[in-house]
Amino acid sequence: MIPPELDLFAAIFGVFATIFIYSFLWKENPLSRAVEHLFIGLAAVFTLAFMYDAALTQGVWGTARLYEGNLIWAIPILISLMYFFFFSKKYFYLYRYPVSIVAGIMAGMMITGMIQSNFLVQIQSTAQLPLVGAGVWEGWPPPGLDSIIIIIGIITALSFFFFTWEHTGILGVSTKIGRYFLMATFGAAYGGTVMARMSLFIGRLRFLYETSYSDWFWAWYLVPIAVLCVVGVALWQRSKPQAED
Amino acid sequence: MSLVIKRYIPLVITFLMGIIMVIATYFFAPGTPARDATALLTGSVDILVVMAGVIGLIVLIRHHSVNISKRGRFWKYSIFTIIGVILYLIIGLYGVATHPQHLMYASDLFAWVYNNIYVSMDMTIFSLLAFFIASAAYRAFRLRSLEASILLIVGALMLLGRAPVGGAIWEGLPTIATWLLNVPNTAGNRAITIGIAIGAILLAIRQLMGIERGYLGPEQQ
Repeated sequence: MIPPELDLFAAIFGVFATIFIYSFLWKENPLSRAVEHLFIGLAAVFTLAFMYDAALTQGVWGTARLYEGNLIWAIPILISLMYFFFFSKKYFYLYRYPVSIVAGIMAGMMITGMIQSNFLVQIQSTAQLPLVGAGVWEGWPPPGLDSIIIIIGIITALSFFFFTWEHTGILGVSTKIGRYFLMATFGAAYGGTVMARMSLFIGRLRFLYETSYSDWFWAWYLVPIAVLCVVGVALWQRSKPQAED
Repeated sequence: MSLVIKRYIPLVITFLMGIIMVIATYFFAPGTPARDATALLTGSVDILVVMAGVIGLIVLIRHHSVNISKRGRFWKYSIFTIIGVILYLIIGLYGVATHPQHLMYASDLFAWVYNNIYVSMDMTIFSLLAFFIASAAYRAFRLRSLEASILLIVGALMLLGRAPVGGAIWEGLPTIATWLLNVPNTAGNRAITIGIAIGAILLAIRQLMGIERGYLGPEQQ
């Protein structure tokens, strides 16, 4: 059970962390660097916790696993201990054994997974595009025209990645068209990224404006104080130009 | 002999593991013992990478501790990383001790820190990109090439078409954005995905054949 008072701490921390990180937009400063370093520490532990929970659920608590006496699941746990030879100069080579197991399994999974989901399915979806039939050439733009544009786009964009021959003649024209399709894709990705990041930014502004605790504390009370901290640190830095940080 | 143990056996293990995965997937039906073995292997990876994560965390702590002790570059900020790791790890270990299934991420306090502290910083850091991407667009615009223009025009149309203000300016903008997303974007994305697949498969084959050995670490050790 989490004490509700911790929400007040979260609000205070959130305001200072948000303003300190955004101060990076003006200039890199000790406050933004401090929060970034704190974030790295938390991120490392969070990543480990996420992997640990997945492993425990998979190997110990899952059906017919170690908890139910299926001792075969103890083998990977024992092998994983060999990772600690990473710190030994003499026995470093033993560290390669668990690494090679993971590398082999992942390579096998990549071959099977990529062939199925990223290669065959993409070709299959393209081959199934409607070109003939009822309603395919009706309306504007007709679905048939869209299909032709997609097929041309895929073939020309793929030709752009073809480096066996020089990109001249017909191949040159094809790669040029392919480049335009790729740029349109990057443009769409760019638009999507901007939208997603703006949505995060709006989320932070809403956090600063809306977060409250017990009707007496509002997060935005602390915004001017956090800004003053940033200005104070900037002035202090300016007074000590020789200091590295 | 030494070279066999140090380098060749790990390469053989990599090859065998990869081949078992491929053969079991393509030549054995689901439910057969051989196919079930692949579930054991993939489950083993989940367990093995945890210890790799532990090693990564130890290396991170060691790097920043050495930086502090040697008064290295930005050593004062290393203190924040160490504090973050230790505090969050203590919370995580407390969660492991108290959670009914001894899970860490699923424990109450750990999840609270994630939702209220970590996400707060994560969202802010990632939203910084909204500002930097604007300067990136300006640099692309200065290139004055047809490719850069296509990128910017499609990006701008996507932005206007997806935002509510775009539909308010002209009702055709959302339709154009949807068409751009469904047609030219699909074509380019499919080509990129097929290219990635071919590249990844070749990389995996090179790894299984022992041509790509970077994952084994330095040669001399």
